[in-house]
Amino acid sequence: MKIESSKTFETLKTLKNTGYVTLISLAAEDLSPNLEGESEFLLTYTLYNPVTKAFEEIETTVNSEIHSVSSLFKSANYDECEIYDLFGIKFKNHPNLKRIFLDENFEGHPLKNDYKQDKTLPEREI
Amino acid sequence: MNVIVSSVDKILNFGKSNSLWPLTFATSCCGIELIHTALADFDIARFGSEVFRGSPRQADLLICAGTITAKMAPCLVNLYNQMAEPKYVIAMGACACSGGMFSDSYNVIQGIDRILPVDIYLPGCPPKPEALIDALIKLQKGIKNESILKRKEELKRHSIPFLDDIENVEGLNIEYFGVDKP
Repeated sequence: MKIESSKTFETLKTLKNTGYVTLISLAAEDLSPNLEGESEFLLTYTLYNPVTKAFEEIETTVNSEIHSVSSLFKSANYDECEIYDLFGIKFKNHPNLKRIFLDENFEGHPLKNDYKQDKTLPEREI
Repeated sequence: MNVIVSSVDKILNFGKSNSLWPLTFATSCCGIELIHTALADFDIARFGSEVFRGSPRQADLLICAGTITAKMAPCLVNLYNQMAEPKYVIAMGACACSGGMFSDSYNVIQGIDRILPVDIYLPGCPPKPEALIDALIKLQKGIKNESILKRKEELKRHSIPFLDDIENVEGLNIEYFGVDKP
């Protein structure tokens, strides 16, 4: 299912009420640069219904900010911290959005497409 | 002076080198080879390492087997500081010697010798159990050349600042998860 980024919270709420109780994973992918030259990310929510044993995938495209889902599913707390740490997407109404994987003084978001670092592999003589 | 002390040296070095008890420190794939060395096929207890101690206060040898990230570095230095003298360090595997296959990564420390004094470097990915036993034998040969007259120089080589001094270093951040800051 593909949805706009402003409607994710309500669709996940209705899905949770109809039985898709657990959030199994939250994944992100960097699709930038856009046709207009902006940054674009693809978020994928995977929900699971333990009664009928059915999976459901929901995809959204995000520019920079999106509403957080951690009030519905508690496991989204750490997932969103990690995505903020590595991609730079900000989640509104998150209780504690901070870097969880890298140092707090780390500059930059490593998994973006335009992340560069000074380290290079040494050249090998063939 | 050397003549008087040499027999005492012999006895002390014999005791130190033939009873090195390691600390269980395995973060990555090299840890599996470390476990394999301690089992029945390649027995490391024949060379003196009878048990692997769980607490650093009861161990002599730190075999650092695995990749060390920037988040694990303060913990490793803390463990090393809690060990009592005489203590030795073996850097096992390519990741501990110099970064290994993560040599252009943003979060991996490029070699343990940036934070600890290392005695023996053991390359390999992962090194065979026989290679780890070879490293242990070389360390024992090195210990048999020590002398109590040169103790001060050896202590200087091992001295690194305590954690309170490390906290003020730029770029190194220590996080306390679930524990109050002392």
